[in-house]
Amino acid sequence: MRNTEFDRYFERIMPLIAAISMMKTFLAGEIAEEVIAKIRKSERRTITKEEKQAVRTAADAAVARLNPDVFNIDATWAPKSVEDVKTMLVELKLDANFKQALLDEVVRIYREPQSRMHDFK
Amino acid sequence: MTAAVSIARPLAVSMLRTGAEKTVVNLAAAAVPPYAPFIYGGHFALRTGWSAVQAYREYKELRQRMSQARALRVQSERTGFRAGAELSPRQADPELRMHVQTHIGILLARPEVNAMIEKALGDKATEEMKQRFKMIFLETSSQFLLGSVEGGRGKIVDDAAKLFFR
Repeated sequence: MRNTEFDRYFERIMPLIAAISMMKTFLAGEIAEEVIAKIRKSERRTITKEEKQAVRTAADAAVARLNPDVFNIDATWAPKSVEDVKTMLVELKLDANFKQALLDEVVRIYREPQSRMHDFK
Repeated sequence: MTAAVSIARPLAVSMLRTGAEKTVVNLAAAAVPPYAPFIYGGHFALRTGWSAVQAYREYKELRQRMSQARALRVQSERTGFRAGAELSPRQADPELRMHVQTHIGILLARPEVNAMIEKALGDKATEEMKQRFKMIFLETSSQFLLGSVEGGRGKIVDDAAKLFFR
């Protein structure tokens, strides 16, 4: 197997990428649940399984693109377990405005294809 | 009809050309029988030689393309890791960017990456969770690896690239 500088760099930073990805995954899950609750409350109806899945996908897509800087962690940070990552995410106390913006973005991504569908009806 | 004509035309031209070539060679050989073996031999050598020239041309083109791919790889590494410090934002050449993305795809398809994902999430993670994590992991990896080439992707991306060269 060819071992280029690129490969060595990737091997070295893989734990950091994994830690950030884990934070993003948990954050996306949290955001998705909040969006589902918001839709349920505003539309006063039960959310179907497919709709929940669509919201989760929208949350994943929005959070995946987030710049890792939003987590305000150090490049040398090396968590030892999933619990360490969860604790860090809680300790970070993400800004309320930022979280709200993220929620709005997820709702927009979720509603966009549906609103386009309505145009064809 | 037009399609049939366009297919048939080159075939007919090729047949006519081969026929004419053979007729000329046969006539020449018949006109000077003592030199017939040389005429036939010369014709054969000419045809073989032409095929060899064509093959060499194709080989040269292919070699050029291959060396271009190799040059791109070297260029991507040099651009990305230029002293590990110069990480000011710059837009990579689209071809180079595509090459880097392909390389990222190859890196992420490795079994050790999957093993790392399994290990990181532990036994309790559901299949759905693993898939979601993998998608996010791919996106974050691209942010870090492309960021090391282009720079300007944020503090942590630049810091990680700089740390590598310490």
